[in-house]
Amino acid sequence: MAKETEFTDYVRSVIEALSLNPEEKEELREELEQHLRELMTHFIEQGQSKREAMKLAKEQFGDPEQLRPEFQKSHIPSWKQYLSKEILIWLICLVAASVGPSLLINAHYTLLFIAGPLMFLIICTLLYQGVIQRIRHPFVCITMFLLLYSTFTWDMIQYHSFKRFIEEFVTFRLGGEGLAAISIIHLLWGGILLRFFNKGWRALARVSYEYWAMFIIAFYTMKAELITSSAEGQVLLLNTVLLYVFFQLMIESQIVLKIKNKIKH
Amino acid sequence: MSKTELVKGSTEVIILSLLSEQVMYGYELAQKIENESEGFLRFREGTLYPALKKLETQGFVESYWRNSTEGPRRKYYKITNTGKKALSGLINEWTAFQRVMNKIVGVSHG
Repeated sequence: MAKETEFTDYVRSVIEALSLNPEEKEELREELEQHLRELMTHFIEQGQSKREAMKLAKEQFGDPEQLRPEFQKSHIPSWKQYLSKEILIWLICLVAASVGPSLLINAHYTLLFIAGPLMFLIICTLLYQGVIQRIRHPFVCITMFLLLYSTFTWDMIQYHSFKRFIEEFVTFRLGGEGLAAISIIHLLWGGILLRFFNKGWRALARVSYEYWAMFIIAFYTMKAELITSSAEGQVLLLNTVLLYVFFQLMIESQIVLKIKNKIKH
Repeated sequence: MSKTELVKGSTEVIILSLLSEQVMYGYELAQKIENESEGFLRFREGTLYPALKKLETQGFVESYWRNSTEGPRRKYYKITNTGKKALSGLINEWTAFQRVMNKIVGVSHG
């Protein structure tokens, strides 16, 4: 929960009706409050009392009634951003699932390469948007991440032996398992951490939890043969989930709009 | 046309021009506009953020947070290559507009 300041109510009245994702709204609140505080300091330095400086800062910033429609016009509603991003990720995953098996193991193209990932993507979307992303508290995220990651690592060491686990960890190769090799899973995680590196430990905890939760759910679903018992289907399941969560975390919400604008200009 | 309307119509070119000189954060940009225009372009500073967001969505500027030694972290805005191209187009339009206006106003007052 963000710290309340003297401008919290004022800023809230400007941006509260905006349909933005929680991070975007929080960043906007932080940015506007900071501007108002700097304005207030400027007026205090000019000799005004704190109370008067606050009033002047708000006046110079603008009337919330007039600012609100301008903010609404310039900020794209989050549902539109989610939808366009989701469609883009689905397309990437479906293309990858269609060409991946042929490229990696020379497999003959079958309908399974489309039908399987399509079903997995529906499950991914429901799971990610409906459950995984709802958990945002940093300490819950850290605890969940540590729990999930240590369970997975322990399981892998039990299965392979510690020496083999380390070998797998440092060997990069794309084979029959596609992206679901220990080294590549960690490489993808590294990419995500790099992207969120300057966003602070809370963001790193959240993305680590989201990434590993999605992968580990897929991993144990595969092991328990809950969705499919065929080897090809299981590989497709793991790869689809990995690609889905990787792109969910790597692609920013407004990407589609930005691409459209880039093409236009 | 009121001064506010004049500012509103030229926000894009003002912001892009200033950001082409240096990377700035919102408050700094507002101060720069006021100082450079010697107080002539005074506006509701809150309107700067929807304008910056619009430019960001168009791909003309990009933003990032940077820690500050003097206080809390700040969100900085930087012009992109697409933004620089758009700015040069806007400057051409602006120059043409200014020429025409000078001519018309000059004639009518001449």
